[in-house]
Amino acid sequence: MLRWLYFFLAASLGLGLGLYYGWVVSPVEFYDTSPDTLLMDYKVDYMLMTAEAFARDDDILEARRSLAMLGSENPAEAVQEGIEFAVSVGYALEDLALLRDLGEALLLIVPDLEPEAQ
Amino acid sequence: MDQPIRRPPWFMITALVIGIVLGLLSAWYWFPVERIDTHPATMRSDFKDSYRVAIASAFEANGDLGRAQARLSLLQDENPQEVLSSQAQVMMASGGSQNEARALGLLAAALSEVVAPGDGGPETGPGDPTDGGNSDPGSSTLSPTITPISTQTPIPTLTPTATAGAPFTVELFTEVCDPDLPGPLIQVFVLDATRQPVPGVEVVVRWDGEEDRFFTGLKIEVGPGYADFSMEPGVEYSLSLVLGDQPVTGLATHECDIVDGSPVFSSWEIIFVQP
Repeated sequence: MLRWLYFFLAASLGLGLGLYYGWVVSPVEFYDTSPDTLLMDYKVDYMLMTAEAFARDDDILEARRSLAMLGSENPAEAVQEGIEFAVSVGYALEDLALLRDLGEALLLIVPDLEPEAQ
Repeated sequence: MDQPIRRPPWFMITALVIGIVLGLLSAWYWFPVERIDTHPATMRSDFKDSYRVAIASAFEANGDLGRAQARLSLLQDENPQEVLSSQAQVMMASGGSQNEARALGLLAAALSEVVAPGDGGPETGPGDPTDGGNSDPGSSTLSPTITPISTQTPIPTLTPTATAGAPFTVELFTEVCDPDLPGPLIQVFVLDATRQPVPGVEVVVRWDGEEDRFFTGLKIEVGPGYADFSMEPGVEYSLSLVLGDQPVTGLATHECDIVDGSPVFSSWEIIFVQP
């Protein structure tokens, strides 16, 4: 009986060592990732880029297409989350205003772009 | 009296090895570290292309080169200027968005003006924000972890762009016989009133009922106000700028020299200037 206890203790120790090595020391390295996995900082900055271009072009469909890269099903909601994040980390007021303008414009066009229910 | 032979605890060693193998399988295959909070540099190349377009479009809108440089640095391209220029050319060649190609070309041109000779990277700009954030002490908007940018850095030398003003006029067009050129070309140089090269000017070439459009600044290695077009022998072309006042017609190439037994075809150099 004691033999089995030692067996499982050793196996558990090995499992722990294996996990530590695989998760911490040498985790899987990712490449060819998609934008939806980006750190929130980068996502929000991407939204800001879109907002900056939108401020000049006033092309909300283009902005929506650009935001689709982030993989969110609801860009308006994503931008709202982005604004909350931007506020929490202290974005400049003018940048927040750009994001808000984009968010509001997205809210206005969403109903028009929803596919009709079949 | 003989000591009993002490055998190694094989069962424990076996269990340890089994545990380690299971642990590694779990960590690397079954439950790998989730792909969240990744960095732009790890993105697939087509996503990086889209990211560059977004950077260039934002730059075109706000003219903030410092911010654009900071954003480009996230992609960790060895030479952002070349990558932008190349992407713009590929986009034009593949029938992609002309506006996006133009934005990429403009950003490449702007970078070419601030990158010191021999310096492959941006002149200024914050490093990776996760490594300490923005290097600009004047920034008022960044947390220690936030990405790029809100520096509103004034552009050191704003790249001239073709905007309102007098239409460009032809200052010079001349046929040249240059065996060093890759083929017969129409080479276009566009300068503003202060004789600074102007990127982003749309050029239209027409021949035999066909038409091609492209922008200056996409071949940034030659110059921000430069563009060229490959001619075919026996075809007559006309060329104009969208912002120009008169087309240049009768552009054709012919054999002008023989080098190493191969014929050299003539090219045209056309200089447009804004009065």
